[in-house]
Amino acid sequence: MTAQKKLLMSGNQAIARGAFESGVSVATSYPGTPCTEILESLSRYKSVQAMWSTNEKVAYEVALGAAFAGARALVAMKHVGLNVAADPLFSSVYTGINGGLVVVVGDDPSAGSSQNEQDSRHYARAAKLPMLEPSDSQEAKDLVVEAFELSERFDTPVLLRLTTRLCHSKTLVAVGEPQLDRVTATGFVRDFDKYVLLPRQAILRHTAIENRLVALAEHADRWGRNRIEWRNRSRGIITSGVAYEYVREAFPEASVLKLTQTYPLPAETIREFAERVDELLVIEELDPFLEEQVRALGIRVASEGWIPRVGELTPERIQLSVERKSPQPIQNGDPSIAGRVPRICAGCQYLGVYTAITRIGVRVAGDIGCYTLGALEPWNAIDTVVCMGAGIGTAIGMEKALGDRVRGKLLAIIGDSTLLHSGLGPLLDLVYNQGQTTVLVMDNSTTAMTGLQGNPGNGRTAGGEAGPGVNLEKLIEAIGIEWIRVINPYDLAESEAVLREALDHPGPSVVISRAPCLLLKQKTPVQQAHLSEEACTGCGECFQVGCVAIEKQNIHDFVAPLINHDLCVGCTLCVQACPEGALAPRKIVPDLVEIDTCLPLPISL
Amino acid sequence: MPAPTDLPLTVLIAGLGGQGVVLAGDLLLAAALHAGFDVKKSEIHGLSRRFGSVSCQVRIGRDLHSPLRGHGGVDLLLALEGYEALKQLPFLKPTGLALVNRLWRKPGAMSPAEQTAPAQANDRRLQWFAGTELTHQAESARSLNFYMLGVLASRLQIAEEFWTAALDGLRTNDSTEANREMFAAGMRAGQAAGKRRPRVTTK
Ligand code: SF4
Ligand code: SF4
Repeated sequence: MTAQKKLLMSGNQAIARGAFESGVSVATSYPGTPCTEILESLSRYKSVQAMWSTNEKVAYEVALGAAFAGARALVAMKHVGLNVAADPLFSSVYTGINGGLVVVVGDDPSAGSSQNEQDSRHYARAAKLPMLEPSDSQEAKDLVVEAFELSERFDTPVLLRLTTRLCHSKTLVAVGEPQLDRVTATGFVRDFDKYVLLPRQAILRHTAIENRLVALAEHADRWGRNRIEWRNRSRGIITSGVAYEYVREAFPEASVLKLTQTYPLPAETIREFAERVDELLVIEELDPFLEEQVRALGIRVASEGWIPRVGELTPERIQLSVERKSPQPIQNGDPSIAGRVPRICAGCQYLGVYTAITRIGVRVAGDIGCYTLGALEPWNAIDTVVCMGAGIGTAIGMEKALGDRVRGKLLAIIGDSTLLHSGLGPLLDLVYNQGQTTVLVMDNSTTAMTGLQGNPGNGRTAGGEAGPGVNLEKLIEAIGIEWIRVINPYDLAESEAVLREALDHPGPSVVISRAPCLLLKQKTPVQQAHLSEEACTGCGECFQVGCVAIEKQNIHDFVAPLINHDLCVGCTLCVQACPEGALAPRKIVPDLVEIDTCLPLPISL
Repeated sequence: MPAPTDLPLTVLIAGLGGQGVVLAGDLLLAAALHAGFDVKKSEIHGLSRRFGSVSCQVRIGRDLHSPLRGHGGVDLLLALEGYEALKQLPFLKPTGLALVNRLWRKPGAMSPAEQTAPAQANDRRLQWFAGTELTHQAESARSLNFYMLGVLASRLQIAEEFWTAALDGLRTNDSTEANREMFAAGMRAGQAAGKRRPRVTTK
């Protein structure tokens, strides 16, 4: 055997590599931390057609269609994305597949970049499909390959569950050869009883699924990756995923049953393990998913109630929780040192929009994207944030419940990418149910928060090709909204006036605030804001813009702005906000100042 | 580098968005790999916009398990900013060592002028370096991460050739003369300071 090449890969990159080696020809996703990088990595493999889909449901359906056609397909999404894709997920377990279908879901313990901390493993049980959980990058890559075999052997989609820690950790991976002969789809064969889920067929298929689960449980008991590592038998630990690595670190002497297929479980292996250890612990991140099933087998679990259910684990947190027989708190940094609040970039269009909104004073149903930061100081502009696309619907509900009490005072805010993801249905609903809410679309021509991915709005594909992109005004008009205006968010007076007009309009209205995300075009600014200390009265209006470039200094007996010229991009919003004319733009003499505009880092959400 | 018996070694690198924390971590990872160790790295950047916190952990050893350690599990803390260093102190072992760049960017502070160090700054495990000052003087402020990585390198027994190999592997726009010079300067500063303080022990 030749020596295998080892590469350093994140969990995400390893998943992509595994898909490539499996001969995947269609891969889909919607960007979302912790899984965004999977499709980005896949787009670099020539044999894979990697696509950003409009949303996770569409992504799932495209991958399923490819699998029906006999291709191997992979779909990746973050945990809350799986909620969006749940409908086709459940039904595709009934239809089964043709070519293999692997569904990768990334949970986010500690909700570092998410609106909740759900444990997506429950989907495997609810939808009745097999689930695998890798512990490191090597296993992530290997499991993709095995998941495709499992998928085709049992005619079912396979769920591969990751967590943020695994996605974002780099470990060594021995890569294998790609099965390029598998890239060509075998073709679709009509099978009415399988692919057409009419009621009678559904009942037939349900029987098939129950039988399949029994067979999968037997497979789990024979599969080498559900493995017992015998060490000291006074303590035995059942664990899975990245928690396995923590357990090995925290209790190096303990015997371990490492579960890799975590649904359906290998009952015989679990019984065998439990019988031969004195004290049985079950250690897993988030919900007691394994623990409850182990207890349902009639096995006593000593660690019941010890393991934290909120927040990410660490080896030390597990150790302490077991030692003290109670869940110990999340291990973050020193809480007495203030945390750093994420900030909107200096000179971003959102600064203008939120300054205008603050001046008008309205209830705002928000949505998910960079603009969610408008909920924070100094604007405190957003009142609700729930999930992708929820803002418009929530606003309609508030309007219907409160009637005249909110008329002209209710705004739904949504970004271009989020609108296309799941905001069009709610917008139709607004017209259909004759609502009067104003919808503000923040159009920055990209999916900024996750790192500037393409979307149907800008037309750019995952492979980087330019496409036509949708015309938002025409789209919104076709939905039936008659009152539509586009504003330049860098004109404060205009933004405020148009927003007031829209709010007063009797009927649904849409305002589109349009300016490209600053990260799309990083260039040296031509001008910057400068303060005239004599003119400044310390009124503080400029601070309300909320620009990171506006720091504070003491002048005379009051607080005045101190413009950080390393950050100012010269958007003039603070200049317009100052009632005293104390701030003025000044041209930059080229080559004298080296400007470091916005963040050069890849952002992750 | 501590002797193999002292392994595994866990290094936590912390700083602000835009300071190059992740790149510093990648270089440490590459140097340790070249030196023949098993490595694992985990990144925490969540909502790390500019001035947000960024950190990563690099673990070096043989047959490593966890990609990260929790409170009291870190041997060496390398911090590019003061508050980020203090925030991460709960992760440092009682016997650990923190190599910190002297720069204070207080979260939510009015201006850089209004900065005062909190009580934790007196922790005996902290060792301070004038990275910001020196890189500014050399007109290579952007090479701060390389300077501090040099300081870290002075405390690890990873031979110079492996660091060179790691630096050679950089993309061209990071592989500048300024970065190499600042790395070397950091190494010298770390060695000089190390003479006055005991080297890190990892047990
Ligand atoms: S002009 Fe004012 S608001 Fe615009 S980037 Fe500069 S400091 Fe910020
Ligand atoms: S808005 Fe103008 S007058 Fe008021 S504090 Fe700012 S610079 Fe001074």
